[in-house]
Amino acid sequence: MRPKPDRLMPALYGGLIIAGISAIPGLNLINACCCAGILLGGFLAVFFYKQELTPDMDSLTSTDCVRLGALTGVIAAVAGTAISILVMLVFGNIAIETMMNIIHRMNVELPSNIEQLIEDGMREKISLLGAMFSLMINLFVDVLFSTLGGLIGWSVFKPKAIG
Amino acid sequence: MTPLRFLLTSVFLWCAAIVATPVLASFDGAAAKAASLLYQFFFCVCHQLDSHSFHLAGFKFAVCVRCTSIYAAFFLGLLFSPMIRRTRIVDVHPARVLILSLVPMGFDVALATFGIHESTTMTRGITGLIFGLALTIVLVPVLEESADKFLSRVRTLAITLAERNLRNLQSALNLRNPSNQSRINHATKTR
Repeated sequence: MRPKPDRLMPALYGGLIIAGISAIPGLNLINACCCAGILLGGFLAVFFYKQELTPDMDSLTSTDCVRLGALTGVIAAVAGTAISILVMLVFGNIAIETMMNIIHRMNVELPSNIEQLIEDGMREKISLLGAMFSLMINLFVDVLFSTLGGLIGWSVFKPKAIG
Repeated sequence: MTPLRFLLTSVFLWCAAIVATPVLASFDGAAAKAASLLYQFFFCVCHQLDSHSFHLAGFKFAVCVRCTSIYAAFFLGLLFSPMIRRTRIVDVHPARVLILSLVPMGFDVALATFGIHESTTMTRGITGLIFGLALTIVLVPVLEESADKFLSRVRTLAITLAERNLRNLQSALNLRNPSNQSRINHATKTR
């Protein structure tokens, strides 16, 4: 039996997909539905890993999928935070602006205090503490949901003999 | 603790945090600060639009109606998973279950986004419930399997640590009073 392929590359692809979805304004609205983008990243990491497995290797296990999902989440959190900071430095707080445009287009009325809070948020600058806080929250959420995505991947791609 | 109980506790805590947030927000001081942190945390998971959320004590839940329904359905599905497992629905391929459950939600979101039909609390709730139940069918067996592995690892680690601590304690006692060792040896021999 040949050893299984390294988990880093599929996790990197999955993590970058999540980071892209989370950091690109407009596209990050996918995550507004129960972190669907993060679930998708974990799922795709398992899919990419499955593609690298050949018949002369041990088959996919649930432990592989959990580890792959968790690693994908860690990569996504670090890359996502870095990309969001870059986007904010280059374009300003366009994420909130895009979201506000969509909310106005959907004819959703926000209470005046929330509008004020959003306007204050748009004027906010990046701070080291804020970035760290954001990274910690992203780490928790991304690892949790990406692992769940990995488990969905296991449920879909598991070898038939085991299931 | 069995894997199912571990999962039930975890999901219950997640759901309880969602419902507790508006209750905490209705108080002053530390409770309000805790609510603010919870709102910030759940903002990573959901848009938290006021008009798309359930309200309690005058404050919105930590997540929207759709997400609340998904988590509630997942919790209920987990609670009744032994019964669901006995039905033939678990034999359907997970990918089919997921895709079928995503169709109503996808339609509801897409039609609302393009302004063709207005998504209501009812449609958001029902489509969320369908997706949450589908997630239960797909995820619960694999989650139980993973939770079982995780719990057995935690148990092994706890036993190893306890054994090591006991050994350290024993050697510390022996160092303090060397006659203890001879007593222990004597007791073992007589036994």
